[in-house]
Amino acid sequence: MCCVPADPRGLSVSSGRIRFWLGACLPLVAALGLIVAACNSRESATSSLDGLVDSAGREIQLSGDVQRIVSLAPSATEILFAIGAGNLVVGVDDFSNYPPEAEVIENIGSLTPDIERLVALAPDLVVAAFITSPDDIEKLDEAGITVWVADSNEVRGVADAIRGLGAAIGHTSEAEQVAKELEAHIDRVVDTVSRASSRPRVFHELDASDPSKPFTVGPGSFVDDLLTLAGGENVFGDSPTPYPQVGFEEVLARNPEAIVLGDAPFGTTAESVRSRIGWEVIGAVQGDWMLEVSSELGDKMARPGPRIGDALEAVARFLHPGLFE
Amino acid sequence: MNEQLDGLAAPEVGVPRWRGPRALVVLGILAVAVLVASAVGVWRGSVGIHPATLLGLFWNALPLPDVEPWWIATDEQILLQIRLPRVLAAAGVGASLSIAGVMFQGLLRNPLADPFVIGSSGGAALGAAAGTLLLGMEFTAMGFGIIPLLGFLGSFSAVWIVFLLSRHHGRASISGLILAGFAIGSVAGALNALLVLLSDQLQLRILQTLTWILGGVSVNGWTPLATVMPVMLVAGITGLLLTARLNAMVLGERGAARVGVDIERTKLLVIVVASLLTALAVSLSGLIAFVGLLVPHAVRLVIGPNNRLLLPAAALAGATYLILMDLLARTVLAPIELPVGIFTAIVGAPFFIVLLRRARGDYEF
Repeated sequence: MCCVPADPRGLSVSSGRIRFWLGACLPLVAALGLIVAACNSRESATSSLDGLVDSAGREIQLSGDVQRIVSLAPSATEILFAIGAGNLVVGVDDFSNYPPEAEVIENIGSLTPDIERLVALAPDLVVAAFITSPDDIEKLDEAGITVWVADSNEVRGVADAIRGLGAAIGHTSEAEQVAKELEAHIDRVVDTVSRASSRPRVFHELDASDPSKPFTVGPGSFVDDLLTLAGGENVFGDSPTPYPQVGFEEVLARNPEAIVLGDAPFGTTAESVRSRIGWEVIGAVQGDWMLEVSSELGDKMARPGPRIGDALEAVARFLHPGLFE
Repeated sequence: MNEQLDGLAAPEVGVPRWRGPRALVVLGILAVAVLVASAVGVWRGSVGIHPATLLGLFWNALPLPDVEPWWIATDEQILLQIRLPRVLAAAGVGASLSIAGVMFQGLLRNPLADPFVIGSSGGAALGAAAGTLLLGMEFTAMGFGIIPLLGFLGSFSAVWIVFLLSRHHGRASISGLILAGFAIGSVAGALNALLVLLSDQLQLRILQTLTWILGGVSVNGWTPLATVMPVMLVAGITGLLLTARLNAMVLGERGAARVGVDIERTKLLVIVVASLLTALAVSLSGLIAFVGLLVPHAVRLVIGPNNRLLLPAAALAGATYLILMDLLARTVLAPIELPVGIFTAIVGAPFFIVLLRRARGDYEF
């Protein structure tokens, strides 16, 4: 079953956030953007007559048993281990640091996989995510290796991504159980925060190495969905892009009540935010309502994997501490 | 000798030569343009603020009896702590890049010369990437974070290396400067790419590095301005004092030497002043393209090539231009901030081409 390890703290820094940066690069890489946008609208993993359909809406023909799997994304690695397929994983990407067993598996590169090493591992299936470049998927297709995309841009969609991957590798019942537990967890949290009298206006900071123009999240991003489900109201919920860089003037005018420091694994602290010029008048800073996201929580929040329920609950507890006693 | 000095004041290159009162009129108009652009830049922003608030704040800043504030505290914060320093920074950066452009174009006699021509952009980018990598993100000194600080150092030291490399027996050839600049710039650019690819940390923060390289005016409060502006001012005035020497350079190195200009000293002074201005601009705004290339040419197309008038006029025009482009960068897609380099190119290039067409092929640089 699911081999959940003890404490993954001390592992490499919040690598799961890579998907944000790629997402934020989309305006610059228009072609990739179009493809991912197309992915967004698809239903996750539903069966069709001829075969299975993955999260990217691709129809996949699977031949025979899947015995050797390579994962190209930390979220995919987590799903595989959670549905009891960890022992089949023969290669992972650089960012796969959970569960700890994943770290000793052969590494096939970070953002761009080393295709040669990957092919040498002779996998029956490569599991990718939306962060995987379409070019790499095409290369693998041409090399005759089947690629399955397991991902979601919405918190609630993760359960279906898990079910889909489970069906693809023949771990249907384990996947169903993990997915159901996840859905129940999400429902419990959503239920609890629905009793709240108000939705705190929250600002999620992705990167403020230039505090005069921080990066944040907007609609269409995974974290925006998470904040909303956790009973918060994203102050940049009106942003036209998922990962905007915003002027500090805008942050000030929107005066968030709470701040989630998604860049805490990079060294940002509530203390350092207080010492930023001009930030002292913001409600969240005055009320000291800030969440320093640990690298563990950062990974959970960024990865559409089985631990997303934990991330949701952590944020909900931060936004509505009174409701969780 | 007198003949030659006349030549110095206004080299015979293309289009009109304005001097005396007419020159003062041009500078006056441009000075008014800077003031108007500044006022608009402070007034307009992604957050709407009533002009009356602006006037009230301005009134209270004067040594007169204060009026009772009717505006909210965040409005005051936005105007005084965010917009005003930002508009001033944009003005300083625009002016510095334009002055540096005039000086490099004058010294190198090359129409493609811009403030970054001899290696400073590559050095700046490398410094910025190293800054992202080296230290925690909240490091500050004199109001600057580590990225602008190392960007400044990278920019200035790259030019210095180029200058030393291109010197032979105390003489730096113009072609040597341009080519060594290109080589050092390429090496720095390649090292930068290598650094980014090899470092997970940088890959995760690639956007921050990228937008810094694309350029955008960025100041946190007044401290960085208090550090940079006085140096910019001194460097700008020094640049003004060098314009007679720049005018002489149009005669070529031998010609300039014949009218009594110390060529090697001029090269050293121009390079130090211009690359200092460039590096200061980099520290406030990253790498903003086109301003330092287009503004000097555009102003030269209108008022002619006399550097004595060209340099201050380009400074004022560059300040106006960057204030307005920065305004676009922060308002067009609000709440999103776009890199200002996008606008300096998209808006500037067509305008420049219109000017070039109007010169009917007469513009010889």
